[in-house]
Amino acid sequence: MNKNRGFASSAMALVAAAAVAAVFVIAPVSITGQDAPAATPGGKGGGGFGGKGGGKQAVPAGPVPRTADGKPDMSGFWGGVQPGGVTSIEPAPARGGGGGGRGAGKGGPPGGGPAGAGPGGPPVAAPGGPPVAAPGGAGGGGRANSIVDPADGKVPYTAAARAKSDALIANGMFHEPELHCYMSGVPHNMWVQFGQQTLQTKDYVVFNWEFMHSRRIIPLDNRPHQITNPAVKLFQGESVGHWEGDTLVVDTTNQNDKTWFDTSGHYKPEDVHVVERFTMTDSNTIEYEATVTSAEFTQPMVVKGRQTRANANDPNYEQMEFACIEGNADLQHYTEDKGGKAKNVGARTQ
Amino acid sequence: MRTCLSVCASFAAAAMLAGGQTPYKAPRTSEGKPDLSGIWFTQAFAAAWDIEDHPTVPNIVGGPSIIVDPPDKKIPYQAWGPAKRKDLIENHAFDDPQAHCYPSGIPRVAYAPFGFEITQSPGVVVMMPENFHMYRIIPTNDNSPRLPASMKLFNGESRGHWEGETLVVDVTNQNGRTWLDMAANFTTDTLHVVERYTRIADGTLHYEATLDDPKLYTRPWTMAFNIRRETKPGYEILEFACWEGERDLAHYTKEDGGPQGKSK
Repeated sequence: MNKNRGFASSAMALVAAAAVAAVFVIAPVSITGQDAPAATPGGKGGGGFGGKGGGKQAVPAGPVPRTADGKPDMSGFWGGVQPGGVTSIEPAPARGGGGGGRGAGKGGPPGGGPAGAGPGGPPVAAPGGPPVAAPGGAGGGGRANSIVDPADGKVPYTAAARAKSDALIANGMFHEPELHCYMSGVPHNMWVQFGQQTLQTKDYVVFNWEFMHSRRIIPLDNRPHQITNPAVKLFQGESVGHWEGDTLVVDTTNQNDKTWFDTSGHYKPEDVHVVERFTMTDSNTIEYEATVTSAEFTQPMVVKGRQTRANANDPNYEQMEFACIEGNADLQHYTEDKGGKAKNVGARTQ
Repeated sequence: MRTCLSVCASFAAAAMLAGGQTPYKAPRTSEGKPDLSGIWFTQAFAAAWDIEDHPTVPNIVGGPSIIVDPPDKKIPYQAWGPAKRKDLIENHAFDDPQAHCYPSGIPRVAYAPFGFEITQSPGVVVMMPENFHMYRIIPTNDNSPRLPASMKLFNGESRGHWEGETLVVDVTNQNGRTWLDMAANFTTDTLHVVERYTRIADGTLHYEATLDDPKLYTRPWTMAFNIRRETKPGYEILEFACWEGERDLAHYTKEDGGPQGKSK
């Protein structure tokens, strides 16, 4: 069953070429232990994001900070949602040599993470083995499932949608949106690498990411969606937010069809409606949940994860420029009909 | 002299703006600083085409120069500047950095069309132009460390501080790959920009930027204009995905895989 989502050998050359471009994306995974299972509640050893902090003590978790108007104050730097899906939102397919880059990193920061996330953990699964983690669990050196509903941790694509995803994986990996410097879309942007800086006022929450220099501006004044024409399609869609008690609820519509849930071909249908819930449980922790509905799904998909405060111990930390267009060497991946050198196989049909 | 140029210009502007009445005082943030938050639109729209005085012709919106110093309202280029600019216009107009979706650099973002949003938190001002979907995170803490001179960025490094009603932003480390407008007023990587944002009325920001570059200009020079507050309820800064449907491939040289001849 898993072999359907393996990489067809005919695509390996392109994938290898893409890997060169993607190396800056992948390398930090093993450096920072980014894909290690989320820290245990209480956030000891939190701040595991941001490789610059190596050896520094994280700031101990305290009570949920509050803004002047009494809302949980999420201002500051945060790591991406874990486990998320930097490489794959689905459980790692059974491939040798490190399980697709997951779970074999250096593990979490000292004191953080459940057992099994220690330094130099073994590759997660033997070829042909079962998925590495039980739903909701974090055993065996793998990670918890990012998708908690359906229970198998897989995107609930209809058969036609699954076939489309499989076709992308087999022949279309050069379309991986982040290779083209696209913003990641919602919810994918919540688990990109290199962290985010959140600003919060009474009227807005703003997420600014270092990765792809992308952003989301989320108004909190209970406005309805301002984009009422479904023909308007955006990479990040349109988000409006409101507070339900201490939970920030964000409703996102009008996304385009150019982004994926991850970097592994699990495409995001154009019609997705995303409702995210951000609940701060202490000063270092945000519990994250996203419910994604689509006509190309057999049921709603629920993603759960956790964000951990980053760089709290470094008052001078700042995000830097991420000018992905600079020196873009992607030209060789353009297909012949677009003036490039790549064969036209697997070109996107949507 | 440089100090005088900048300070004198500021005094002149302040006196003019005050108009002999009690100076406007902006509302304050929780930090006690002037509240610049909101959505703002440049009133120097034509500067996007050419910051100097230029007529309206097909496809170009004309307008007066936004340069307030020197008095001739022209960029005080060293001799090689206009020669290079002429070559850019005649042979490399397709290399306008914005045509390649590059970040605009400073100060070009300030007079870009489509507006920008400012949010403030203690110790930080964030500017988010719709144009090119950029954001600028400007620490207002003078103690923040600076980048080494060798590190160059499209938008450079911005450091802010407050001088009374005015947010002063010092910008270094730009990479010299940006232009000031579509008329090939190019920059170099030694450009130093000092911006001044002053809220002079509920609905108006006064903007001033002094540019200095010992490689390119004979003296520092200053641009100034006003920026209007957008008050329409529900107005939002939207997405600007420049690379979507980009057709720039036609301009790549053959050595880069495109149809054009060899680059110079």
